[in-house]
Amino acid sequence: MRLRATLELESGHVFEGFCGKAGGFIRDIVFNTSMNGVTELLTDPSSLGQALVLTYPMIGNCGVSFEDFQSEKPQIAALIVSEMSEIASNFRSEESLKAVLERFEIPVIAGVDTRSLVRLLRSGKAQRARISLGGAEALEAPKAMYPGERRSIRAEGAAVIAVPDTGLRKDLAQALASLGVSLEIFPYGSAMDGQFDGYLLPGGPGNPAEYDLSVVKHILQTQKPVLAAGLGHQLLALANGGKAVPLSPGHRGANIPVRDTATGKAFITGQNHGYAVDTNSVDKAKISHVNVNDGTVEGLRWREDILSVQFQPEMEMLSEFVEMLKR
Amino acid sequence: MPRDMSIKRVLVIGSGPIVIGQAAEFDYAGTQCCRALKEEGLEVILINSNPATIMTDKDIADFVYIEPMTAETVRDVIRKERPDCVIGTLGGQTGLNLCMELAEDGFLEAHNVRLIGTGLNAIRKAEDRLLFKQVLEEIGQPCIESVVSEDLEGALAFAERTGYPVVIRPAYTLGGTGGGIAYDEAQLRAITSGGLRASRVGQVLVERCIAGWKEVEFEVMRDGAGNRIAVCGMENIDPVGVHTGDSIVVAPTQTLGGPEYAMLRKASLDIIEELGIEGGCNVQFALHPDSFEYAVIEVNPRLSRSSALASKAVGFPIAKVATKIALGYRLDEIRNAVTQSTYALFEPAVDYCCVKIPKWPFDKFITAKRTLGTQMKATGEVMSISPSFEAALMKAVRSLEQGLDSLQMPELAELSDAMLEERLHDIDDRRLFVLAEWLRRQPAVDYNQLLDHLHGITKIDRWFLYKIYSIVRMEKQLASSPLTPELLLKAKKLGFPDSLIARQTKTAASEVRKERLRHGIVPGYRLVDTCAGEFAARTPYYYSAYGVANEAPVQDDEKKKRVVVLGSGPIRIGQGIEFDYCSVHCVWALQNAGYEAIIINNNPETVSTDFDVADRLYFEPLTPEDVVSILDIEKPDGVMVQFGGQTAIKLAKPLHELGIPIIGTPFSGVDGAEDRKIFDRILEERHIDRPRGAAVHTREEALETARTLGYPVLARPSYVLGGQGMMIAFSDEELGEWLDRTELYDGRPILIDQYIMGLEVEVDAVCDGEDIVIPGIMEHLERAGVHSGDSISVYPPYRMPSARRETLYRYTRDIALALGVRGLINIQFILHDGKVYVIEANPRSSRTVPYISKITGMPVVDLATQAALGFKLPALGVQYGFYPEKQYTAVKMPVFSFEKLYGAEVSLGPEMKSTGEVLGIADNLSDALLKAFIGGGYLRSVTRRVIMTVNDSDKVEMCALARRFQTMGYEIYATKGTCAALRGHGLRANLIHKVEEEGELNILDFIRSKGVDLVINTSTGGASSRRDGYLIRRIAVESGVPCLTSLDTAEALLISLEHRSPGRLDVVDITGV
Repeated sequence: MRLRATLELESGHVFEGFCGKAGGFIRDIVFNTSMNGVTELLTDPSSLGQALVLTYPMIGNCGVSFEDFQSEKPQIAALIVSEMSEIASNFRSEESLKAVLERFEIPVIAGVDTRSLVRLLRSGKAQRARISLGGAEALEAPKAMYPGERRSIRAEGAAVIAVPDTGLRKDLAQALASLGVSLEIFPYGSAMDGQFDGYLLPGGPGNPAEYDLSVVKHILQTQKPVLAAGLGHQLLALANGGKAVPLSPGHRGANIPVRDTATGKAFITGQNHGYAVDTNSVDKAKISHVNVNDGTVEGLRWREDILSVQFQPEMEMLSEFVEMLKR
Repeated sequence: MPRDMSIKRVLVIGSGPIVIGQAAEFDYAGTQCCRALKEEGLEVILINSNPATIMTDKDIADFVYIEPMTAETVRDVIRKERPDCVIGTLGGQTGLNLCMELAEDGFLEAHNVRLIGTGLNAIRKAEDRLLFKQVLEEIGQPCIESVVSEDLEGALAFAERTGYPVVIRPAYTLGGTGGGIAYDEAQLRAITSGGLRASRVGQVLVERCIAGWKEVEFEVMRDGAGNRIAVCGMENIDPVGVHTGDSIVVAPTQTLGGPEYAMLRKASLDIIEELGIEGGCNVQFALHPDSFEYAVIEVNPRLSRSSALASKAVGFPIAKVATKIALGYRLDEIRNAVTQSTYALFEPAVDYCCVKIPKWPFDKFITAKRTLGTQMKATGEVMSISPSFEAALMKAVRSLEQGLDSLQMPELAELSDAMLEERLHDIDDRRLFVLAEWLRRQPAVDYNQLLDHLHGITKIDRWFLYKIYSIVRMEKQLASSPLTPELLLKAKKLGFPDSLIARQTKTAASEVRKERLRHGIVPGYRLVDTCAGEFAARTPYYYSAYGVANEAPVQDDEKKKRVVVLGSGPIRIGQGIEFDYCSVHCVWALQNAGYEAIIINNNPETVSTDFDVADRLYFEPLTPEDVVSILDIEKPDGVMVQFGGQTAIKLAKPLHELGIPIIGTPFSGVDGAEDRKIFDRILEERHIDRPRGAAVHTREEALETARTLGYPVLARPSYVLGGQGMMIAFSDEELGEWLDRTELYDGRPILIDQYIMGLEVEVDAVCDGEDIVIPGIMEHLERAGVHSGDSISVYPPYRMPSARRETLYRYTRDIALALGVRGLINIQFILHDGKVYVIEANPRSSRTVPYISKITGMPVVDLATQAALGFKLPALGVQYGFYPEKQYTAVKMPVFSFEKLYGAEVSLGPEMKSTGEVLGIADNLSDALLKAFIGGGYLRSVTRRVIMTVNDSDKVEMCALARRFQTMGYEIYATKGTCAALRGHGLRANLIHKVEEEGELNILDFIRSKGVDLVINTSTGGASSRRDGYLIRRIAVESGVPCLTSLDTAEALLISLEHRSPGRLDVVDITGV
């Protein structure tokens, strides 16, 4: 069913489109410039609660393969696109994107002039928005925190790490497992019992200041190797007395250039966050990575055995972490 | 790493003449490279034999050599100019091969010249099939099972083992020359022998056939520090099996899921790391449609057609960045030219899609096979941009200028269902339209069944097929539903032009436009910004879309003067890169005169569509509707239509009718030159002769007219353009035969003109409304009858009596003034029996403008632009009359691509066939000719044997030429008739057997075995000898043996050989001429 829908921004701007399901509240409205990997993006725990605007106009061409889910379900609050594909054409497609989102009752607005929307979003501060259908009332935004659950991922290998689950992506978990690291995953804030060779502070949604830092402080006290990525990187900085500042717009895309300050080499990373660690608040750490475009902190070295980066770490860094675990 | 300061003087090697597989994209790359070097304050030395290019301007490089692209010439230039380094990766395969040759033989090292950018080792590893395979194996990248073979036996053994079909690819060739798919042993034998000959190193790759897999390309870059980026991923809509240059391509990829995309992107980056590329590189993959299996097809370690496409598609100047990398910069030190706030170390994100469709020359070569395969056949391409794939496809289709405004191809509507079904299996230039027609005829059923059927046959991804279906569905909806504003907007969002909506709803296009305007349904213009809107961008590069906000500045500043320049669309035979040269120079001239210049064009290969050329670039189709929509926003002071070839000038009429001011020559002048009656009256009133002729409607009238005029006559249908279907008839019989072949349409006359066998000369002139200046006269070497674009052109004239100069001047001035020309005019004359006849006049820029500008030093386009704006020539410091003549002789030599077009007729005639040109410049005619023949690839001196088979009427003249060849030490071979004639004249001639004759030395085998250096064949009467001649010519071009089809050309070759001065030819820096 196609209904006329309106998307209303706090600033008062209104966009029109069509919607398959009635919406209501939205927490943050953000945009992402990735041209591929939509399934991964929608199911990334870091996307929790976002009204996600995709800048690429034709979405859902390849359908959805559940293998690509980064968590158990789509995490976004709503999807705003220019065009939602009528057909899904890919050998791995199990269901069309449209059907998946309908099944998970996630409102989709299609037919929006997304570029104009993005041009508004890129200039202003983080915005809230609401989608309405006819006279539907806006709902209150929930607190965006990923409700991780206790589980284990066993790998062939000796190393075991604990993960306080702020929003662990499946690909990161699988990559570590493929390197022989077993993961013991705990809901964030719950007690992590057991003997671990190290810790992973994964990514996750929202403002790091809203998280309880005692978990991170405890991990630092253990003096074990730590890998922090995304939100985990921010939490680590906060636990060390640093500050995080909101970015406008956030870094959300598959094309964000980062320079390794040690080697001088730069590379392209995938990111999905709206806060950055304030450079001036982390004197105690060595800056290991910076953003080529805006110079923001992308990586910090608090200790020799802590790898902390704002982006999705690539295989090379994971291997380095695994080496640390073995020592 | 900052710039390497030891670099001071850089040699840039261009790509030579435009041929199929190597076109305008290298002028774009080379020009960008030169500008990037000059930006750094470096001295640039340029060599390119192609005078039509922008890169060979003295504004672009400091020292310009328009010389043959041979290792010998490059050596001479290096000896003379002493550059400290050379860039070879911007001049296509030609430039790359030359660099390789000079690097490998130690010449560069001996002269302290460094190869900068991607180095010799990397190039070798990517280019040599065997080495490349080893590299891939080392890093675990899959390639297609294959064998490199230097002989036929190896190829046969491989096919025996893996089974047919197999693909054959010759090493070191461009555009897949000489390659193909073999389905059986006979085909394998034929293609492999051809491929071995085509390869510079006598190597072919024989590989497992993976036709039907998806074809995906990545444009990737790496700097000297090892930083790497993927600039753009592109997907061919046509699966593997069709050369990527002949495929419809979409960017970014549409049907690859995240994991497949990430897998191929990583593979590309791993490959360039292993190769050690320093600059741009193209990686082509075949991807299995139903698994993660893939294979690397090939890697081009240089700028390519695809990199030009990618640059325009995402707004990333690959050539410029590659140049900076060659100078030592790292990617993260080079600014992103579009945003100015970010860096080149960045993977562009786009919020639209681009569709490229090739432009094929099958309208010119009616005998050529239209099947598409591994041998590229397109001469050019168009690109379009839109947030919707459907709209991008529709825009690209109408940019092609093939008389179609949509996916509706009338000739297909006449096919029966069964025939149409059959046509689904043909892989040719009409496939897109066949698919649409087939879908159009299906009843409204579940579309998945239809897509499955089409996918089963074509292997084209269902998503693309669905998009074609979506267009057809809208066609039907328009035809069956009332045209509400909602439906109208929906159709516009799918890229439907007003003309198609009108056709479907049975109304007029003007009514559709009115309806649109009434409801405010107009396009918005969006910015191409490399970052999908994430950052503010400053580059004024726009495309249109419906239902979106407009970002282009709406012009209301009355003070700022603005002119829109219409570009020339895709490169095709008859309208090449010359018109891009003119468009770009017009833009620069306008800017110098204080105007804002806005360009509209749709060719991704060109300099004009580089986003830093004009003040604003609109990447749009050049149709009246698309242009008018832009004019509605820009509200310019006027439109410049005289520099973009036929594409632009044919828009004069619709624009004039809408009351839009045309800058320069008014529409009445354009019309006056084209309308035979008006033009005849103009000539008559001024006592200027033209060949007599008449328009006739019946066979009887035609024959009677021809007899009255006297044979030979030039016959042509009046309803085609560009010399298509023209013929020169010498007798009733020949004319009758032509009339049989030519359909006589009601009301559309046939034109029969007196055909004067005289000396053809051509002038370009700039007129300011009062008088004219002529840069120079060009004399055509071949007698009239060969299309002016195919004849060798010489400046200054060498046979024309100088007394004729004044007549030409007066005629040109009188015609220009009569037509009201302000700007350029090109007139072609024939001189015969003391009289001067006008053949045709075109009040626009011509093919010869870049050439005459460069050799005379007169800034022709600049002056023409200013004259069009209303300036008078004397006020610009130019005297009326002839521009001072230079001491040099310059020869423009046509270059053909016959070997790429299977089946195309080689013989020259009134229809133009050449794809490009080279220049020969020297202080005397014979050296200039010699350079041009060398540059054009006509001079082989291996066996010193020549084959002559000519028309009876040419035999006497031929004997005189044969004598001269013999004196030059050539052995003459001839078939029976010619041989007898030669012997009759006391010449030694060896007999070879005709095609069907039994005998030891068969002419075709003799040519195939490359036993000769040259074939001279003039077409003969009679069906069987015509077929023989055709075969001889085809075999010659397919075997790489030069074939001349006019005795005049053969004589010119003799002149150049006879007067060959001892020692080397001097290279000439044209900036000093």
